[in-house]
Amino acid sequence: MTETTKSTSLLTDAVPDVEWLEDPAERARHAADGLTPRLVARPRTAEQVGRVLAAADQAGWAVAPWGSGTHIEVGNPRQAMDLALDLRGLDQVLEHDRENLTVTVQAGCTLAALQEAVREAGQWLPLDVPDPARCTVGGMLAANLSGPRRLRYGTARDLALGLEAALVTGEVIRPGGKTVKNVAGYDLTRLFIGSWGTLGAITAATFRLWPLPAQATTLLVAFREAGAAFAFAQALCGSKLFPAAVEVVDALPPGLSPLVDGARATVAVLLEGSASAVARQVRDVAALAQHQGAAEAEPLSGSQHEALWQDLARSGCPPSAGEGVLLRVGLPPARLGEAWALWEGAAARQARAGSGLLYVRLSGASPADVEAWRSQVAGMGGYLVVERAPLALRRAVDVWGPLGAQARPMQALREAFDPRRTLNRGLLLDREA
Amino acid sequence: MHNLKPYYQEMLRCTRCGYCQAACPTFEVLRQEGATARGRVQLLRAVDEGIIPLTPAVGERLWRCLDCRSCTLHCPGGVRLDEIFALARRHLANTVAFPQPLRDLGERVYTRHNISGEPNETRLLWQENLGEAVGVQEAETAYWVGCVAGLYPMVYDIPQSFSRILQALGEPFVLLGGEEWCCGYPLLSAGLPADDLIAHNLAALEARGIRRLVTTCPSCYHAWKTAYPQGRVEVLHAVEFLAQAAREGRIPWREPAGDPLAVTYHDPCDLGRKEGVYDPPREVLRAIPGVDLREMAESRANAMCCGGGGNLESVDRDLAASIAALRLAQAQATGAQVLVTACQQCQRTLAMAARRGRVRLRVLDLSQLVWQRMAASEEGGT
Amino acid sequence: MNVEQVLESLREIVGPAHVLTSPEDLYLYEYDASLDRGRPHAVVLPGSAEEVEAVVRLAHEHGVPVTPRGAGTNLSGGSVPARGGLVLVLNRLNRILEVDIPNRTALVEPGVFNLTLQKALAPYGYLFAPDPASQKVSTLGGNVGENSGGPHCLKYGVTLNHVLGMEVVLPDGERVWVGGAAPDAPGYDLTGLLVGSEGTLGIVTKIFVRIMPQPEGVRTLLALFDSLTDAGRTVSAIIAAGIIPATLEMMDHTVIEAVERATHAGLPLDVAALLIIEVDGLEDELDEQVREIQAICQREGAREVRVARSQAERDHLWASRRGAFGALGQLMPSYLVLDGTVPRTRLPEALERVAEVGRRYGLPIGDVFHAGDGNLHPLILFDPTEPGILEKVRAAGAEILEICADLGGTITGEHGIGLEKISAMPLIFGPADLRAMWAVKRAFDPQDLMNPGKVLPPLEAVAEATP
Repeated sequence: MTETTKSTSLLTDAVPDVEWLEDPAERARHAADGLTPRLVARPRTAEQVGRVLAAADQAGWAVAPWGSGTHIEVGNPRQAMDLALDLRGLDQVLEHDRENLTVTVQAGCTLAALQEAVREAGQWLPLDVPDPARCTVGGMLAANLSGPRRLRYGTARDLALGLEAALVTGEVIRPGGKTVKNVAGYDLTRLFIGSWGTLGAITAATFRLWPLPAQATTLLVAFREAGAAFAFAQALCGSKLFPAAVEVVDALPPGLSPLVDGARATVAVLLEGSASAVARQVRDVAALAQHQGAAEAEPLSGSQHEALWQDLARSGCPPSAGEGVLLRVGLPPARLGEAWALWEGAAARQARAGSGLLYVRLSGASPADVEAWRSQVAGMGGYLVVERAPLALRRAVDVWGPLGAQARPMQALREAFDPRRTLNRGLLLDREA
Repeated sequence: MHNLKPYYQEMLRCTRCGYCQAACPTFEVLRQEGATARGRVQLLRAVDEGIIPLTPAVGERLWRCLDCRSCTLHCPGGVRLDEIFALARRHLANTVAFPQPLRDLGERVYTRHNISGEPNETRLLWQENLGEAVGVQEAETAYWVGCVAGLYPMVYDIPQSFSRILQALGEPFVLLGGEEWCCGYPLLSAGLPADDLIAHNLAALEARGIRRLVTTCPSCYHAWKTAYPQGRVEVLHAVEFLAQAAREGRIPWREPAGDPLAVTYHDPCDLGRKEGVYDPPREVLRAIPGVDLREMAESRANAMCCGGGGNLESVDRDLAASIAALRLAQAQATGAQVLVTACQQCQRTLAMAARRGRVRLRVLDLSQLVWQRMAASEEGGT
Repeated sequence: MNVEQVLESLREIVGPAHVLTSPEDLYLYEYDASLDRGRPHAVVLPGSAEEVEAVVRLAHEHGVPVTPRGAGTNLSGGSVPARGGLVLVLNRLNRILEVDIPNRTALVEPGVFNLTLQKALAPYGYLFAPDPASQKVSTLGGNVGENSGGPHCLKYGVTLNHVLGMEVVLPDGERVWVGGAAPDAPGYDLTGLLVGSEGTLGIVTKIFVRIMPQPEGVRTLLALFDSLTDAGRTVSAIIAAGIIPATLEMMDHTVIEAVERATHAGLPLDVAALLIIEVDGLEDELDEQVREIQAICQREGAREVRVARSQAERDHLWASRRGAFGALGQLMPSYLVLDGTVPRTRLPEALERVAEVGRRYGLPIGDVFHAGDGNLHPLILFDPTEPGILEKVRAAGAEILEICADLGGTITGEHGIGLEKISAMPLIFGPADLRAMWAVKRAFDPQDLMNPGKVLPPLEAVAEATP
């Protein structure tokens, strides 16, 4: 491998019209994985992003695309980060087609800004992310972030109609489009979403919007035993009702007192829609809860309801979590209860019933723990990702787990789009053991 | 060059949408394009346009067909597939494409006047097991037995049952015996002419003063209704006769014993889809005390051929048997104990499939069930 | 390559009865439901995933192109061999392997007809949401290859939204699982990439799908309009009002007249357009939604709105939609059906411009389509014996695709690019986009043997990038 030329002028001269930042404070703000970049770029257009990537690729620099950094340390630690490519300069809402219920935004736009832009038309993008005021659309797409509402509305892969991305060749591609139906060519939109910035840097995206629900309310259902909570959640998800979210938690967030003493699991059910649909579902969910032996059921509305779902959208990672470990376990939904039981001693557990996701927060874990849990989860037909952890643990294990036979085609795609591994080197697929 | 006009225009109307694949029982088994109406039309067009030569392989695909008309019914474009294939077979019979088994069939029918090749005079052997004589020398009604019921012992019980029903209801009828020649259906289905048979049969009836013909065979029924000069003889299928008798309360039923008998009904193609006779057999079944009729999901116009249709059995016995097994499974899905039909060919084909597949489903012709449930019969309950 | 040796090896893999080489059989596999044709060198019908794997491996070893085929109801030439080689027919793999109600999934083989799966799920009170109009005959493998839609996709999504994972034979013969029962597994979304890749990146041998409970209730309405614009505006208005109908189908005058003459459904012969609208979900809100839709229709100028009060009435309303293609078939022997999609609000304009194309070319065009998602299906009717007609029809079709692209839409909503629309790809994709797609193709199939000549214009035709 050729020696990387670290001279920053190689880049700043190649793309003089982009804002380059070299001061230590800015560079420190873009540190991650124990690495500090030599240079930070703040382009304002997709075309500039392309030219920056091409220059970096040719110079052998390792690049990390940045949004606001909420998920910058998820994945295997990067092997190098010479350039931080900060995309927050691309923050425009390009188009809100209210009659067709689509919105096109640049990657640096936050999710909160997107929602703000479309709210006055009575519309929204039903995607939950941990920190919408900070989380950028580009980061959300690269990480394929989702939250409780994925149960009803789907994830970014279902809601994005098209995107724009810059490649290391310098080109800007625009796969997809603006229509809900579109099967022209290969679905690069789906490919790029969840690719963690290893194929290209997403610079814009178009989403389909939903009308804001006329009403929304929560039903909290407490169970003495987790098994009963999961049975209730299963039954609810298999019924003709359509809850927007069904979350099982071992403890309610601070600010909400437990419904009963000794409740080992509480199910939070989110109901959104027309007044009549919500009212009907409240009745039916309450009846089902009773039938399934709930200890207590209580409705929640107004600001408490809002706060609860904001909290649940953090998926096990509140700001107060500190240095602990967050595991993301994916499973066939019917096995969630079984997996839940593997972590009785966890600091917190949150399961996305119906979707098949379990978030486990721990104060710590060893590599041996991770391997053991991973193999147990694999036996249930699932996978285990170490989503957040101290750097030492992230270095000691492969946070993603084995990819099996899928690794080969994935590697071929990585090779096709980023042969020099310029983008997020080491984060996904190219971890050096 | 084989000229299929005026149906060439009709063949052009096939847009190759492929929906006929859902309708064709041969496709259900073989899963090949050559086993679809679309495929057969495309081949015929290719031959007509000189793109491929006419070969036995083309004929194999054209004649490996039940002539069940399901494709015609389901074609979204309303293409007259039945007419295309009928005309095609007529043009291509006795060419290099014509399958040998059908040549042999034609040979038998032309020389022996029946499909089995047995002496035609043996058509009344089924009578010998009856304790009494049936039929009279002179009457206005003939019971037209047909080749299958007359010459294949496995289904003798059908004419035995129906003739005894006629007798018990005091209905005088003539049996033509050796004067009954093949109605011509298998030839017409194969594309061969049946003029002599038609002429003979009509003359035979008229010579005996017959004004009405009742038959237990849907294929004979269909042939008489479509290939014979109309208006000379009234033609009825046994189910129509029985439905009228039941409606008029003329059938003395036995008292049912035990639980109701769950039955399902298989619509023979020649009676149902081709002649629209769906209700009379059901009327009869509902009239029988102690019988619980359940419909298959695929019934009436959507009934799947039993596998015995067209001349498929002569051309590909295994395929016919595979199709029968599929139809049997559809019948089983109703939970019925008995599968009733109104055709000796269907009864034979499905009963053989039940035996082969060790399926516990009794297969009966309607006349057999009616006779068993009539007070006059000495047989035990079903 | 010794052809006879390869054929012999194929016979050893699938059995001699399942290798077709006669001229008659080869002719039978050179077409699908599109206007394209291409003759294969042999047709293979494997009976298992293992056999599919072995066939692909053998073909790859010898550099033989492979064209996968389901029911051959493809409307864009996807099942037609573009470069000879093998046609690999999947319809012997036709078992439903598993229905798992607690997990709400099913595992099926690619040769299963879509409707067969629906019928298997119905006794449980479940369904598989993607229900293309071809569901009686299109196979699930074909639905996956094209990422099929159908009348219910506006509300429930397309095939991809309901595929959790697949077993795929890659172009070099390696058989792998992509996706699975656990959501958002690490790595790239290979399932998302493969669904809709038109058989050019691999052959699917098992499909793991999401199934859903049937909705509690459904209501069906028929609205008649004196102008296409009114109907088009109504479509947008319904959705803008926050109602997401389960289906929203439109038919124009040409189609309505053909249907009425063929079926006597009771439709007036002088309406310009009709909408069939269905809402489904909980009973509690359906009547309210029906009232709202009626009000919107009337406000936008509907001549009449009929609400089905029973299953029989509902079936009657749908019969007119389902009979449309057939009824059009009575007018003219042949048709070319297009698949362009536009943003919903551009529908009225699209319809007008399509009608203008019809007038200019002297070709009758009927429109019956999924208005809710802007997916047009103009049918250009023609008599194939007319000299030069095919070129004329294709030219008119190309213009219609240009119109859709011009209105901010796409050239195919559900039928795929196949062979038919390759030349239209530059209408919606630039050179960089096409090069990126070629990069994907080469990553999976460096030798370009898996359904070659489909989807992407030849790389040489794609303009060079500006440095």
